[in-house]
Amino acid sequence: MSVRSLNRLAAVLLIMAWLAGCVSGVSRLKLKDSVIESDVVWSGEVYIDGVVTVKKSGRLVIEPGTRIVFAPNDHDGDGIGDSELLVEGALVARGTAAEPIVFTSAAAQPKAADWKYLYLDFAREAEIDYIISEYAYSGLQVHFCRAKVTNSIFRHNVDGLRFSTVNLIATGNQMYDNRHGLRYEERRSEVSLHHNDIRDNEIGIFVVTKSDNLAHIEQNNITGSRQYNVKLGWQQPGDVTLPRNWWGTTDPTAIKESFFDQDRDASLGHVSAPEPLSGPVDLPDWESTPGL
Amino acid sequence: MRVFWVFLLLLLPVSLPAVTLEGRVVADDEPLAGVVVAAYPGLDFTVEPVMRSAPSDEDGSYRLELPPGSYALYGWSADQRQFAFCGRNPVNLKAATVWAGLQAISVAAATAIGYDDSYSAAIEGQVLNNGTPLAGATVYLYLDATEDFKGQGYRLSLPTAEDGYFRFDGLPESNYFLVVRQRGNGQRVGPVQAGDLFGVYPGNPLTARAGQLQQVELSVVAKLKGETDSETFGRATGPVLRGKVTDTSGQGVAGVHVFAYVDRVIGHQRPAAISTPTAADGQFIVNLPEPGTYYVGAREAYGDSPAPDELFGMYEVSADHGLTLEEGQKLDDLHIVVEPIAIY
Repeated sequence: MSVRSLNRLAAVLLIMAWLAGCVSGVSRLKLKDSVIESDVVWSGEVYIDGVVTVKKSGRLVIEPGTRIVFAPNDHDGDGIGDSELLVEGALVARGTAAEPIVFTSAAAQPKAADWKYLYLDFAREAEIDYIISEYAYSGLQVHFCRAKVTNSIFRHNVDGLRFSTVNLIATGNQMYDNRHGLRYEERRSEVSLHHNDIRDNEIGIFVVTKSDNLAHIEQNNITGSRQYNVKLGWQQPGDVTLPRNWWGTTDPTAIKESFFDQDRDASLGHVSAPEPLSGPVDLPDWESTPGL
Repeated sequence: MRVFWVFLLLLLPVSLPAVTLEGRVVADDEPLAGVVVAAYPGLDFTVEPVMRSAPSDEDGSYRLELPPGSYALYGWSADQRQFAFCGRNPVNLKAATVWAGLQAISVAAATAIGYDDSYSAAIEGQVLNNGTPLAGATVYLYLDATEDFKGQGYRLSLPTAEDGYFRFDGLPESNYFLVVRQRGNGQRVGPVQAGDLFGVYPGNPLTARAGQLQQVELSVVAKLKGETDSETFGRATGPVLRGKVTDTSGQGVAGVHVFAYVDRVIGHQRPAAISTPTAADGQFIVNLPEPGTYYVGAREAYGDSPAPDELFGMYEVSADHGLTLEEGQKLDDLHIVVEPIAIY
């Protein structure tokens, strides 16, 4: 094949590649450090290399099927990627079962903490449905706001879902293969977590501190944790009660042994699991469960 | 030859004019003579001081000449039975003459007895105010003095009982600096205001050994009026922020603190600087410790994480709430809007 033929072939391939991008309809948005201060809609693929902040005046709507890909840069060398999406205004990320919204790493071989987090901080509005958040330091952090998190997957992160000082409903979610499936500081939060599958994490639920035992965490599957299903942080001297959950066993001793609490460290509170379920909770059931 | 002399002059050390530090040492409001006051570079008085005074006179007065800078002032009587400290430690010496009083307390040696856990240590004791047990005080353990004994430290006790008793169990073997505070507002963290009680353990740092329970006595004095700046301003040697805190309607908000953190994710450590409560019109001043980038906001309470319904707001002009200030810079007209944290 002559050089001219090769050039012609290369040109044709380039045009085909360009057309493929157009035909697929996938729009690509590249963002570095930037601020959203008005109404913005994301769809297609959004590549973030830096910190994107939705300010108080901003409202970000993410459409089903959108992929938000974070550059795995760690300029400050703290072992945690620097890219993040910080929401101080409004976030509506409503995917579908068929077309979830994906927050993930851009690394070829992704790992936990490639990017920092999706962080809701004093957010005015926060609705999250059918998202997948993976390879972050925290799949989702929620602080000082009201939020609803449903039907979502948090996997391959350091912390799957993390919160403090919130009014939070979390249901129908899966948290697996994280260092901590769920991590929280209650701090007068009003919390209802039910019909979630918290499985195969190092620690299923990590109660760091300041829990007054008011969070309602019941009707969940909390199973298969490699270290503990529940662990209390060293500044959690108060008891934590987690009624009516499925622990992967009905053996009370085995359930108790999956807790890190006063039985192992006298300065901590007790973890109790009254009325443990005899089998796993079916996640789709939550919609028909009254009173929860 | 002329060049040689100029060169020689350049080699001579340049000394800043000394600051005259004067004050009085008192014990229970009475002058205390014979106390040698020493100026230390930090709040750890086990190191060699920068300078020592002559013993205090009959009226308790002492005098020191020091280069400008920041010093912690402590004093000891000749028999080591009286220990004195300044409520403004560390004292910032900028003006030509600075007055700094010291208050003295009696020294009681610690005793060590057996502790039933051979792998950890314990400290217990009694807090006294004028020799009387003090209830409701908090004892703080600090691992070092690098942060001027601010914040919650390594561990803080439960409020002392009616008999002034406190206790720490399960401590790792270490040296601990003990400080005690009782705030009139009942808070366990925050600025120590005039009239609040506080004390520094004369045996700092106390060595806690595994298998031993150290028993100590801690005495407090009342913070004097005009001694509150260091609690709120840190070592106020850097740039200055001034401005106003308002509500969403633009009305000045009184009684909130403006804070400045060096980390963008605030709340994971103590702020680098915090103002006294804002004035009736919402005006504030924050003295920063040094040039740099600070993340600025305002809140109603002090210490720990903001709570629901608490007034809170951040500096909103920059995306990350940060400000970068240079040496000697004074930034006026900052505006911070606070509103209640509404999560219910």
